[in-house]
Amino acid sequence: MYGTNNDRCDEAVRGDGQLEKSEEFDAAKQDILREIANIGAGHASSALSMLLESPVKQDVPEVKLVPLDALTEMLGGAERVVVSVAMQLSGSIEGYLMAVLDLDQAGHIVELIRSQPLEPAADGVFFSPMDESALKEAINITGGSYLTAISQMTGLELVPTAPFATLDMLGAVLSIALVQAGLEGDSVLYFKSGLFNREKNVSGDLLLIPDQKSYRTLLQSLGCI
Amino acid sequence: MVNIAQLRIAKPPDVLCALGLGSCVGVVLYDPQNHVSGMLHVLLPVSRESEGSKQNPTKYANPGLLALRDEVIKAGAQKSRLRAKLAGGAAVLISTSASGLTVGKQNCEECLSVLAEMKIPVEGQDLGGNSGRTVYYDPEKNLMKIKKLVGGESQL
Repeated sequence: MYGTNNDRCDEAVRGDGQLEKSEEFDAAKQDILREIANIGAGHASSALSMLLESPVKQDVPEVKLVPLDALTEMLGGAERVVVSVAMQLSGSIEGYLMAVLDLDQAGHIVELIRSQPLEPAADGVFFSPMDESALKEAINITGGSYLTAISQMTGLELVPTAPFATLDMLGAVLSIALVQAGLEGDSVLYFKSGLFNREKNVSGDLLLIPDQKSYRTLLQSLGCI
Repeated sequence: MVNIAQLRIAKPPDVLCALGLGSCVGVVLYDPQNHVSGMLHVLLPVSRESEGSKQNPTKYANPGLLALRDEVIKAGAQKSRLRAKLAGGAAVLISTSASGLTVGKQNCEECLSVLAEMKIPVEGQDLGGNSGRTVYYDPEKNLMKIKKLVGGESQL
């Protein structure tokens, strides 16, 4: 599966669209952006470590430019059922920051943070209001650390909205971010950092999806273009 | 399989399917007699000329639906017999500040208005709501099957 995805990524880099030009997204820029993601996720994981009172590690971040339709495939397919906690970004960088978790993972994190089993939820929802709030707050703190780190490195202002949580198919939750990223181009740039703690069996992905204008702003702030 | 911003044509025994539709809308145009069908996976309502994305018209309801109509006719469907079924356009992430909030609704409205303009009767629709959908379309039976995470399966 990964081989195919990489092919698609190369295809995007070679295409004719604005962002797709290879001089716009070459290996050097990808490295710099990956470093940004690395530092952001470093801060995010230490914030989450404090919440869980146990060290959280991060995978090597993924920074890729892919066609719109490829993003959901790369994250496990449009029908994968996920809990997403998303914050819309405004300020110098616009786009979305979202945590994508499997349902049982989201529940597990809530239990760890609240140090108690999940409360029974009402019909049609998956978490009690307090549990949902705890989850949103955890992502707010984790995501906030990620954004603050990027903001400090780049001098750019990143202002997140309050987080909103939803449980749905991956394709459905991502389409909102894709809509914004897709307004101007046919490809989407994403930053993915996997955070995990083996001891407590916690894992999830943090995604940053800036819109196309913001991608240029980001590179400019780093002196790349 | 019809991915985001794609257009696909199918004849029996093939089945069209769009996975995990959120604010996107899956629109099927079909000829009920010879079963030539096509599906468009709409991401956004209207293409704004200035955005220079004309190379991908199928991302938009308008002009994507016009392209879909032309393609199904090219594949053998009779223009006068064309019918439409559509599903999607949910508001998945509920937040008052999210600009994406109304995209689902706008997608639905634009799809319906373009279909009305093309004078293609809408035989079935399942639009809006807060839940993502997966949509299958079987050209043989002219049947659209909708699977929701919350609320189960339904047919059009």
